[in-house]
Amino acid sequence: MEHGGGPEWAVWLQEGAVGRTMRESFLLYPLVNVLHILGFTALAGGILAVDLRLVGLGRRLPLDQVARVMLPVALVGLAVSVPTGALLFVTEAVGMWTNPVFGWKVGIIALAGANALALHAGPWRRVAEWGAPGVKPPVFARAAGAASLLFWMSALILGRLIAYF
Amino acid sequence: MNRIARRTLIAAALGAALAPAALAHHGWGSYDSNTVLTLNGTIRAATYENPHGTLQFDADGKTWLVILAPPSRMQNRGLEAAALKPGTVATVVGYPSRNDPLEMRAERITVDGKTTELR
Repeated sequence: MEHGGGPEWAVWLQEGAVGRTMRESFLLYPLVNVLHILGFTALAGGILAVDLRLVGLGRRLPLDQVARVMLPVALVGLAVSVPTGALLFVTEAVGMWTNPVFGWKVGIIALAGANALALHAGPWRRVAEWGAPGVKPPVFARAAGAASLLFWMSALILGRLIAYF
Repeated sequence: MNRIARRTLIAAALGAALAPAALAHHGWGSYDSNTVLTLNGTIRAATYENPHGTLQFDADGKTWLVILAPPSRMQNRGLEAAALKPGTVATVVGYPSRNDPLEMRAERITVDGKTTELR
């Protein structure tokens, strides 16, 4: 495993038992990759369903009920994506730390999280009213939905592009 | 195109545009596939690891970093770790790195008369 040009902690991390096991095991590395894909599919898919409803798709459906079904799906996806992502990171910690695309991806996910927090701390408290069938959500909620669509699609694209940079 | 579709398309395009095109340091996009290199030399060291194996390969008076394939793929195609032990003579054919003149991504490797496709 080459490790030129990386910080000490990253070299230490990837040369540890977890990193070595991930690199040397035939089954574990593809399995963790596949679980990461399934995890982020549920995470992004659950969120996108709510975002699309926020920006106006399926306005016949009550938004709080769409969210009640889809956000737990997203949370399960998060619970799978994070540990598998951590394992993938440890496998090539130096390469990941110095990869600009990886940095962008993590940054965009952080923005997506901040956006979600702002939405849920703010307008979401009255979602039963403005999320009712036929009602147009307030502009901040719609903007947060559109921003979330942008952030998560970018995260998916950047995740795929990591290998190419 | 309706409002939702238009917004989604814009979002996807922006997402793609955000990925920095300039910096390419080791990924699959950073090899020049218009130039084919053939190196005849000796394996100094090898790793048989995920995400892909590598060789320290002595050829043409230089030591190259040769990027191989995932170990599961190499094994499926009949290239075992033992075939890559230090001192083994081999030929690698592949593409040079755009960033490191001593790095290349092997398309195939020939050891002991047997050629293994790596892609």
